[in-house]
Amino acid sequence: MIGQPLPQDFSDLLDWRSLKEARTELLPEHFQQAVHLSKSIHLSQQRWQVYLCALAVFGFEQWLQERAPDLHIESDSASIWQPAYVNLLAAGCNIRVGDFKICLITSSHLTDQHSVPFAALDIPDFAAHFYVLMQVEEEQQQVTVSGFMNYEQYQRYQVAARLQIDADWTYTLPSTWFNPDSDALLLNLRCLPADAIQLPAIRSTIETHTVIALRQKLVKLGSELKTQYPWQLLTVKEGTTLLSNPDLVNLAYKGAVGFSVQPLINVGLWLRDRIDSLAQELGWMLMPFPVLSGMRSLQEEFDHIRAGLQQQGVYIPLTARGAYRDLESEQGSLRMYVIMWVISETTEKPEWMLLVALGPQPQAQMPKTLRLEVRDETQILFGESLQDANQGILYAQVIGDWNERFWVTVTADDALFEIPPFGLELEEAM
Amino acid sequence: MALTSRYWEFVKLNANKHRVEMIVAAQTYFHSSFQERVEIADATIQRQLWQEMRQNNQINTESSSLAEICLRCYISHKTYQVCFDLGTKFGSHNGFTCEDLLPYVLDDEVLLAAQTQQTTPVSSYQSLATTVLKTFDPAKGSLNTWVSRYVKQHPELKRFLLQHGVYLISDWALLNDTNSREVQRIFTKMYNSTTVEIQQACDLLISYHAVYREDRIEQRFKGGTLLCQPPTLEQLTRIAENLQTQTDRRFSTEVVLNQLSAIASKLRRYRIAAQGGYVSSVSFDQADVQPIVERSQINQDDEEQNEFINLYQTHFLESLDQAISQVVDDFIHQLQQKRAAVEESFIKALHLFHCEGQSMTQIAPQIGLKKQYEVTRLLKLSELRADIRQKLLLILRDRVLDLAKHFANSERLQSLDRQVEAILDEQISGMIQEAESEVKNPTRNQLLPSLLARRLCYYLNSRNTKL
Repeated sequence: MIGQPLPQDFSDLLDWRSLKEARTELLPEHFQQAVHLSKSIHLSQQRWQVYLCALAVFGFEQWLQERAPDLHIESDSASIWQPAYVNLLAAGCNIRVGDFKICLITSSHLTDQHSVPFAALDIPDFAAHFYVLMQVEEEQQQVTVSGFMNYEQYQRYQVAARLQIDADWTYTLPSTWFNPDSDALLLNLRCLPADAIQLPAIRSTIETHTVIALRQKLVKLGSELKTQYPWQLLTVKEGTTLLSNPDLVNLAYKGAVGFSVQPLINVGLWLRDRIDSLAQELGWMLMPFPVLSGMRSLQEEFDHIRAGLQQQGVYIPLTARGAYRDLESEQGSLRMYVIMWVISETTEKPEWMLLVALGPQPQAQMPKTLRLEVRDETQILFGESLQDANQGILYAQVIGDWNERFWVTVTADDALFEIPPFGLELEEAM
Repeated sequence: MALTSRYWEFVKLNANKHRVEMIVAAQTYFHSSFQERVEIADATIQRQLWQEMRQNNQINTESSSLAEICLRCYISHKTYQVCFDLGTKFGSHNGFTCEDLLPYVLDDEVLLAAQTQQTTPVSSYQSLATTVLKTFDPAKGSLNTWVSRYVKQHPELKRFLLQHGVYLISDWALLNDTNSREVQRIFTKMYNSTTVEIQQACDLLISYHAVYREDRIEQRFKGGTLLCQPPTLEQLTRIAENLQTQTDRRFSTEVVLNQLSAIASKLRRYRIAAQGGYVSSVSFDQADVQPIVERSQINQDDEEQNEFINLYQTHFLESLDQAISQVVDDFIHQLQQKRAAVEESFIKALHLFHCEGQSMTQIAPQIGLKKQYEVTRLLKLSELRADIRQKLLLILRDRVLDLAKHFANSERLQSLDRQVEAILDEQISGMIQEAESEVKNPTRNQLLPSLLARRLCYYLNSRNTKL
């Protein structure tokens, strides 16, 4: 069956395509990174879109660096690298070239119409001076700049065309809206002053009753976000509120990755000298702070750690709370201390500190080699090894936002311990 | 009615050009077999020759080998035709000719031996024609289809074409990159499909995505670089299972494959139709396809631009010279990062092209290259010209305060750029395209007449004196 020529063979010749000059070949590392990013997206259809879009961003960066090295591109803070955002919005928003904001969108292979997430066009946080249409030939490992449109053109076209937002929160834009000349894009980027194209003002997010209502709805939806797309569960208006508010975006993502699947050790409870049932089950013991004399053995062991940390310039404040757990393996045993404290409650972005330290159990032999890793949702934040566990203290410190979570992995000789993530859940903690 | 001479004339390569040669023995054999029945169809001829080639193998070796030669002659014609079509459609825009493609596929070792009346060479090499003949089955499709399929799937030819930006998307990549909403739109708009048909196609596509796309991502994760292959039996089974879970419909793997192919075929026909309405993606000179809004601005601004030229003539030439010098330096700098010692060839090629009006083919051997497209790629003339214009505009903007108003918005800027292009280029755009494609192989051998070419020459000459 498979070896047979397919009936459309005759028309194939007509379907050979030529990529434009403005093309670049993707490198293996681009694919690796795009795949890595796509793995943080849990619904299959969106995962592919995110994968393609990441390839588009790599391709555009590479093309621009080769074709116009005089232009400076900065894409580190682009929406595409933030799983919580691309989970809702498969576009490369907030890329900067010089003083311009660029949004990269992937073109359709059916060539005449292209789906663009409405948020990229209509929500001020994502609005761009230029929308660049990228043709990603995933199979051929090629990416081409296939057209561009500026924000004011979009507004004019939209006034005339009155396009509606489709059910999947996208607009379907015709190819004719885009100028296919990539040299004209360079002309604009090189010669135009940034204020020649007016972008809508970004409003700071205000806690209105709409936001509160949507937060409650998202919490309620919970695991439904794991199996259905937000556009199947929310209205466009709710979508606008959602995408204008980073906290809600994170909350929706947490729903999508499903925090019920991977239970959380809520360190927020420790502040109230409580411990959740999961932590209890796993053998976590709350440490009284400051460590009381009634628990002499604990105090001795912990003082050793505390002294070691102080030598390194790490001081644990009096407000800190902590817990410890023993890790056992055939080769040896060790004790893992987790200390947390709130850094700032009052500032705009409240933050907390997570301190993880490894020490011996009383009268027990430490494993010979130790490795400690701390990850967040996207990357490894800390990873260090100690070849001789008796020399010095292996510890990690990370700072988290409210609702951020961290995964800790300990390798003791050949034994691997994966600890369920630590997070600070305010709702439950308060 | 068949053009019967294609069964005894074979197309071969001779010094990079194609030539048609006749094999008398094949002609005699053909006439004796078909008695000049001119009305006979190709399909009939091919079936008979194919049967002759296979069945008489044991009994009559000569007749069998002559039937084979007739088929091989036909294959050579068809192979040439496919390359010719590709060359005509894409060659001039993408810097290659039909002749560049032929060496990959027009290399029938048996015919070459037959022509010199040698016995078939014993070699492990198997030409495209041999592969075609080995797999051809008249019951399953015409020889035409067979040849065009193998030519288009030839790995080295495909690689060559892709290097020139020409490719054919596979069904499987096409299905990967199409979502169910697009299927819905196209099936409704172009095929008037019923709601049930559309729903079934969408369901199947989603199951395909769930299996094939995920596997593709995994392959990429492991560093795979293969083109999208037809789904394996195992994948088809999983697609069928996924579909059953999602919709409770149970299809055999064969039905799944056929239906997916049918969806891809419909999408492809839509792509072709849509392409007809949007020429720009293969157009060399993009200026024709500016969005309508921009175009209407040009006439309006004409007067302003004439005024601009008159007023700033003095600045114009000086700024142009400065732009040329800066951009050529930047280009050399860029080239040197990839390959050392390229400066001299680049300057020489620029000089030969602009100051002596030589073609890319003439230039190639003088700078140690073989093909015209290699020169095209080295010079990147359209990029060079765009960069010179843009640099010129920036220099003028800084020199002439009044010019700022032309930079105030995107439309006026683009319109200004087109005006400058017109001043610089006169007829040069057409010439560059001609020279790059070498459709006409122009023999001007003189200084190109445009202002940009004149100033470039002036710059190159002064640069040479400095060296």
